[in-house]
Amino acid sequence: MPTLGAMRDFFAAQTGGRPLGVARVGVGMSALLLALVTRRDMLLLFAPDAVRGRWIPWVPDISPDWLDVYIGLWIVAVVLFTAGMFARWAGMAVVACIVYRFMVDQSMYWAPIYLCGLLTLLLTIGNSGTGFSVDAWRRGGEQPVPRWPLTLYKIQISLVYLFAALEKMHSNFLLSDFIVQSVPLIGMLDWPPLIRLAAFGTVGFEVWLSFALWSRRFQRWAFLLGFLFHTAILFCIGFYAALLAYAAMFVSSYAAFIEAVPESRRVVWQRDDLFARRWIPLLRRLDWLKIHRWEEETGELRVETDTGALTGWRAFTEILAVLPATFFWSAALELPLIRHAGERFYRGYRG
Amino acid sequence: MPPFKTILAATFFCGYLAVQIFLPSLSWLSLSSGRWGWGMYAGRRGLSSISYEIHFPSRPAKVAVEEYGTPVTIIESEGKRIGSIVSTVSRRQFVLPYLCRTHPGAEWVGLRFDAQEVVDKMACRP
Repeated sequence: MPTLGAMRDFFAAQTGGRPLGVARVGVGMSALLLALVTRRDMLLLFAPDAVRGRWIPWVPDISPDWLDVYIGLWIVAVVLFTAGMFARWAGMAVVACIVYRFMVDQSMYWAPIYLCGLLTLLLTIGNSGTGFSVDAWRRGGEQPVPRWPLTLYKIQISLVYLFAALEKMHSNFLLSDFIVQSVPLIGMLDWPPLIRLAAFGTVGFEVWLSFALWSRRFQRWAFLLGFLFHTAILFCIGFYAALLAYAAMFVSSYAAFIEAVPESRRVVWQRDDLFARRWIPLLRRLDWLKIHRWEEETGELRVETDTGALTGWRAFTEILAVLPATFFWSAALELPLIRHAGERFYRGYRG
Repeated sequence: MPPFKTILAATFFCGYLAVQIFLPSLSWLSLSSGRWGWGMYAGRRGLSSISYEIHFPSRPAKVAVEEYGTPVTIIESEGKRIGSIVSTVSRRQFVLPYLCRTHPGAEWVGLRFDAQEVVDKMACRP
């Protein structure tokens, strides 16, 4: 049956492990921050007047003596997971630490930590430690990973944006002053049309983002606007640990959406070209996903992709669009004024 | 890929997806407490205040108790702090029994949202 065959192919398909590796680093750093947050939260549980929510009585309770052991275990596991050392075991240990947090007391539930647990679980199942990791370096090479956990990971990111938008589709958010209470900056401007625009805009943007991340046409703009969205949240609401962790988890997870087939693009450059000589060594160092083949030939800087070839400044921005350190802001270089300035900059190098 | 591994992977994939659509949908439809959903800063519950009443058989007046801030502090009407909550817990399951425990002799305790009528009442054991 063709459907069964397609299903078998889907679950047998493999891909490079590096995009998940990049996501692993971002999620791991967030998990480290959230370990410290957990220590702070659990100290509050020990207050003599704390209302305890022991909802699963058979789970051993945490005590002040064991708190630092528990947090220490969490931190060690996170550091190993982030570095990609025994990443599967370390990932399972991080998930176990997060599950324990939720089981020990009902008041320990918190959405950012829940998301961190889910993403860590998917990265562990997806064998994210095979790419961009100490394990890969020790083995002297990287192995391909199954594609379906990567797909599930991407769906999870989209679902969070989609449900975040759905949860806001009610009058309390759209028509009341709730957004003013959450974002004091908007409240300070005190202009009702702006408040409505911010509320409806937030909902519309989150719906758009959940789909645009999958679209080749809009993906770069989704990366840029998503990055700006999370940065704006930090500036508007505050640099809280949860929001910082959310921002790091989401922006690093965008890397999973990059179509990163190793050596699938060819970059042609010439050593005599001043621009290429200045920038290509840096770009090569930043090509952590190893998407490009770098070949010296005569002629202008050129990148060849599965959709065609681009030259000059456009080639430069096309390369930046898939590098983990630059993909989330590279779309800004496509804005008309910046692009015009960039092309002049490029031509200036070439004389 | 061996067939059992394909079946295992397919089961996990579908199960995970089902749970991750079902639980946030429940939260969205307000059938759950908002846990396991993605409603941070959505203001969905729209609760501006949670308060309690403690009734004693021996006293004519009830004791009013309110929650403030995050982490939540539980304060009696005279300004005395009587408890704290780290984050969201089921008020019915945990705070009402706590108020009974910390107020010996109370007959019953009640829970209100947004200064409405008492929505949940719990008799305290003597």
